Amino acid sequence: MPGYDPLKRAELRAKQAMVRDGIIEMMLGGLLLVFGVLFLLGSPFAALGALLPLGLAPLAKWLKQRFVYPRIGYATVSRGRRSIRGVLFTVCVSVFLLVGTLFGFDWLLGREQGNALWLSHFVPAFWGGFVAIGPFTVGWRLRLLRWYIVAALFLLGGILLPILRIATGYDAISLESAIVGGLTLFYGIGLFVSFLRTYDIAEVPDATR
Amino acid sequence: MPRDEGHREVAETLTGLDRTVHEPARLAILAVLRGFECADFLFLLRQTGLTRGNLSSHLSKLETAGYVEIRKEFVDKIPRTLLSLTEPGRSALEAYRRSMAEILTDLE
Repeated sequence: MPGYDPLKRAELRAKQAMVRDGIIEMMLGGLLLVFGVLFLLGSPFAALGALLPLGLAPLAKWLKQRFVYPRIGYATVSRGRRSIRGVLFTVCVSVFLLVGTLFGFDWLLGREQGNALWLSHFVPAFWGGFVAIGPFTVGWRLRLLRWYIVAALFLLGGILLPILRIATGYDAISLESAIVGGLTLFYGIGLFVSFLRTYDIAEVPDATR
Repeated sequence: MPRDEGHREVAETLTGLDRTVHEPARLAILAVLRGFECADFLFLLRQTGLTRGNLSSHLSKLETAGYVEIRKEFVDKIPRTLLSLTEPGRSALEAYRRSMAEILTDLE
């Protein structure tokens, strides 16, 4: 079969196994759901959203150690400098794009109208696209359809909510985060339950000891 | 290149293959480890589908060849054996991959 590489296939399947437990979905979904709700409640609460990752990282680690490693084993993917540089590059380009488009809107539509349209329609779409980068990257690297779907939901949510006049501006960002985050969280919980049902805790299997 | 000469080259490449890597079970182990910084015994057991004894035996051979590093650590007082691909192991796998690709191309 042209282009078929069994070695890469084996490596890919092993990497896919690491995210079969749904914990990443639960963490991302939970983070965005709480962030969306806090953002809806008002700016003082939204600041609390920034602290959420600090609490979720230990929770994810605990879930992995308690439920996942005893079932399918432990493995760590090597994180090169490239991935850190990639994240920094993406954030810098995004900030540059966000600020640049504000000037673009002002230049095309005038300051008042440009600012209003930028905030009401462009910022939610931008937020949807920005959040979609993460799931899309995971989907692309691991060839997993479900992550493409999450990315598409974020992207479409950010574009459609203001266009359909369901919500605009910061309300759209909050609503989109809460809805897509909630869906992702519930999907993650489903995956996690299915994972626990599929894999039993292995007996001490370490024959190399 | 005449057909006979091409086949002779294929035969020479085949006989020159690294037999430590060429064995299917060991190849599967190396292929899985290639994408990870390290993995434990259970993870390899699940991913390769080998039996414990078989996996253990192949890991010993790979360790003897210097292709896999085996180290032990304690997590919450529970011992864990971590396995990782060494640089010679990575090079051997890449060389094997290139050789096989050449052979398959020549046979087409």
